[in-house]
Parts: sequence; structure tokens; C-alpha cells
Amino acid sequence: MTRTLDSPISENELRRRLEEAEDTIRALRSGEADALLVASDREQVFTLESADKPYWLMVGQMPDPAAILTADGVVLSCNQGFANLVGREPVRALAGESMLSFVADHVRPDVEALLRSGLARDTQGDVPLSRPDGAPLTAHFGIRSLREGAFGFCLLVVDLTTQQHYQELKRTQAALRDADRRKDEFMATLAHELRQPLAPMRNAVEILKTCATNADDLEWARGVLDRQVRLMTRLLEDLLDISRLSRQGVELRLEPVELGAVIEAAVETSRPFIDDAGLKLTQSLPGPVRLTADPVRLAQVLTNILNNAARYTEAGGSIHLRAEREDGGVAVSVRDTGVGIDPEMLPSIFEIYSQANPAFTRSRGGLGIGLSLARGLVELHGGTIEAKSEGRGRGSEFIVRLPIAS
Amino acid sequence: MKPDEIVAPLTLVEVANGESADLDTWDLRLYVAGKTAKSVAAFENLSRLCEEHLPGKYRIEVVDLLVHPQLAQGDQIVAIPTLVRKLPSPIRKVIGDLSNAERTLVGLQLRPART
Repeated sequence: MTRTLDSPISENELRRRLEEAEDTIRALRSGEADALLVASDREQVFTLESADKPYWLMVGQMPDPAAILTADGVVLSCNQGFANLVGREPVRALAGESMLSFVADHVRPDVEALLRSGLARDTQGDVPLSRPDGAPLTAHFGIRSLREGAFGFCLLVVDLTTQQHYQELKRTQAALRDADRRKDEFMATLAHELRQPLAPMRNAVEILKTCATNADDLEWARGVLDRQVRLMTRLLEDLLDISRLSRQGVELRLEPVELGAVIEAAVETSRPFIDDAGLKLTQSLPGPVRLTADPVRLAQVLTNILNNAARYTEAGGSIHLRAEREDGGVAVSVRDTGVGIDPEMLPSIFEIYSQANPAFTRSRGGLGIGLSLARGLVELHGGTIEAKSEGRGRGSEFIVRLPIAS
Repeated sequence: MKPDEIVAPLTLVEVANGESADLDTWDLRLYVAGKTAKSVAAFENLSRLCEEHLPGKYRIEVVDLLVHPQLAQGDQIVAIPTLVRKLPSPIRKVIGDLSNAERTLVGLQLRPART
């Protein structure tokens, strides 16, 4: 540092002034003092601190945690965000603490390694931390090496949990939108399905109104009314069941049952659909298997799966029903040679209102809630249901697994 | 330094122990720029040393250069905090937060330098 001297000057005074200059430099180096500049008009003084003030304000207001650490990982200074991250107050009390003291034992080696590599070059990495309240947090550490002076690094932390949370919200929103769209499609299908039986019923009623005495005509009209009323009843029953299931309103009437009897009942109910579709049904059953189940509901499950197989298999195809014992339970599988399921449709096949192809389904009848109903009922029995398909045109297989009462 | 330490500058404060204008009185002036941790530490360290070594005969004047920038010129202040002994003469300066008591006492000539 230079300063002008007023000459002449005594040797003592010179010595004193030089000592003072040396002391100033020592105090500045050790951080005991801050350099000061006086503006030429002497109206203003500046220190590094006042020059840094805008940056400190900026860093201070930043929500992301930031800290300056020594090469040994000791905090020299940090912002409020950093204090919030490590759950300590006040900010200034954190100076002098080791960064490692803020992280759990099991992540300490990771953080240590990150800091060590940060000493050589700028580095970054994700570290699992926990919030002061114990909630898990994924922190992205950005470490900038500060090669000069007493500083080691500048550490910037980005809380990835917020971003992950945002992504999750976006996914949920997309799923909700999708569910909403499927509900709309379901409503359209429902209206169509409910209107479908009305035309033949109206025809039959017209015939009856003409007081026709022709026995064949009366028989035909009775048959039409009977079939269509049955169809509508089944549709409405399914609808009621699905709404009961979603409101936990279904109660099982559990009793000891023989699986073979349940399968027989289901096949009997589905037989007209399978025959109408021109399909061949084969079965392979094990010996007697006793379950604790609601026989009516379990038969409903298998009927829905069989009907589904019939609906999606072209005439001339076949359906194979197989039951076999497994560890602690029984597996009932229904395999068809039908249109199969696209791999991307598989995960949502049991979702309510899910339909592989609404237009295609309409042509075959049905609301597309049968599988959803089946899953709900199987789960009420403590079992699982699984769909398999090697893809479009390669057939499908539905497997129901149920625990066997011990 | 944290932002909240830069606000609220000290004004020209006179801290006297009661007796003044005495020839024996030490007249000390502490230059600071705003209420920083270093200037607060320097004032506390100085008060303690004075109470211990100059009881009843010192006067401390704190000059905040943020408020009175023109005062920096007279004593040729280039760093803060700086302590200036105005009286007894000759003028002596000690630079820093006065955390090292030994060095401060030597600087103020309250104790001979160890050789």
C-alpha cells in the first residue's frame, strides 16, 4: 500500500507510519478489519461489505440454500434457505459448524466424497437428506470450487423434492383428465346400451297393441320382451354393483364352497353368450378344492371374465378354463384365442370405464365394466386378478388367484 | 457478513466515564462503517480493556463513517475498525477488531512490546 508522506519527516515518525501500514495489512489479511475507500468528494465511504451488500441481499432472499465452506467443509457463511434446510436458527450461528454435522450418518461418506472432489473441480451430485420435520428430501448439490483465499467452496442446494412433487402433480392431473375422458366415453356407451333394447321392445309392444291373435307373433313378442328386459336388468345390476364397490358397499356372504360348483354355475350363466359367439369352451379342473367365499359373487367374477372372453373372440375361436392348486391358494385361468390386448392397454384393463376400443365393444354389447367389477370382487376375497396377452390378435388370458382357507 | 448486520448504522456516539477535560484522560476514537460484527466486537473489546487498564480515565468516541464520511480524512483511515489514540500524544493507531488484547495494549502503549 502507498501513502504520501509529508516531508521532511523524522525517523521516529517514519518508523511509526511504516509500522502502522504493516499493521493495517496484517489486520486486513487476518480478516480483523475491512479496507475502506473514501470517495474523492469525501461524501461517501465504501467497504467491500457495502459493495457486496446488493449481492448479499440477493443471496439472502434466494429460497435455494447456499453456503460458503472452507476446504474442510466448515460453514463460513450461509443464507436463510440453508438454515431452513438444516433446521437451525439463527443463520449467523451456523458459521463455524461442519457441513457434515448437518447430514445423517449414512449419507456422510457421500457428502464427504462430493466435497473432496469439489476441492479439485466444480462438481455436482444428488444427496438424500431429511427435512427438520423428518420428511425425506432429495437435494441436488452444486459445488463450485473457490481456489483463492481461505474459502474452499460455494455450495448451492436445489431441493429436487419440489420438482418431483410438481411432476407427480402433473401425472395426477393427466390421469384425472384421462379418467374424465373415459367417463365421458362410458356415458356415451351407457346411453347407447340402454337405448339398444328399446327398439325391439317397442316393436313387440306394437305387435301386442294390434291385438294380433297369431300365436307365433305373440310368442315372438313375449320372447323379445323377455330377452330385452333381462338384458337391461343385467346392465343395471352391473351398474349398481360397480357403484356399490366404489363406495365399499358390497358385503360378501362367505361360506365354505366347492370351487367346481362355482365354476359350473358361472359356465352355465355364460353358456348362451359363448354359444351365440360360436366359440368352443374346454375345461380342465383339479380335484375338489374347498374355499371360503361368496359363491354368488365368485361366480359373477368368472361369468364376467368368460363373457369378456366371448365378447372379444371371433366366431370359431375357443376359450379354455383351467383351475389348478398353487402355493396356499388356487388359480383359475380363462384363456381365449381372441383379439388380444395391446401391451399399453394391459395396465389399465381393470380400470373402471376402461375399454380397449369403444366402437368395437359397442358392436358386441356390454358396458366394459365387467373386468373392473371382477377385480373389485376378487380383491374383496383377498385374491388377485391378472391379465396377460402377447399382443393384438394373440389372444388373452385372465388369471384369478384366491387363497384357500386353512 | 449477513445483510441484516449492515443496516442501522451507529451514529456518532460519545461514551465517557464521567470525568473529562482532564489531562490524564485518554481520548480514544473508534472508526467504524456501519454496525458490523467487527465494529461491535471492536467496541466491546475496547471497553473491556479500558475498564481493566484505564478505569476512570478514558473517553471513547465512536465515529461511524457511513454517517460522517468526511471524518475519515483527518486521521487517514484506510481500514475499519480503526482505533485512534488522540490523547495522550503522540497519536497511535490500532487496526482491527481488537480481539488480540496483547497486541491492542502494545499498540496503545499500555504495555511495552516484548522483544
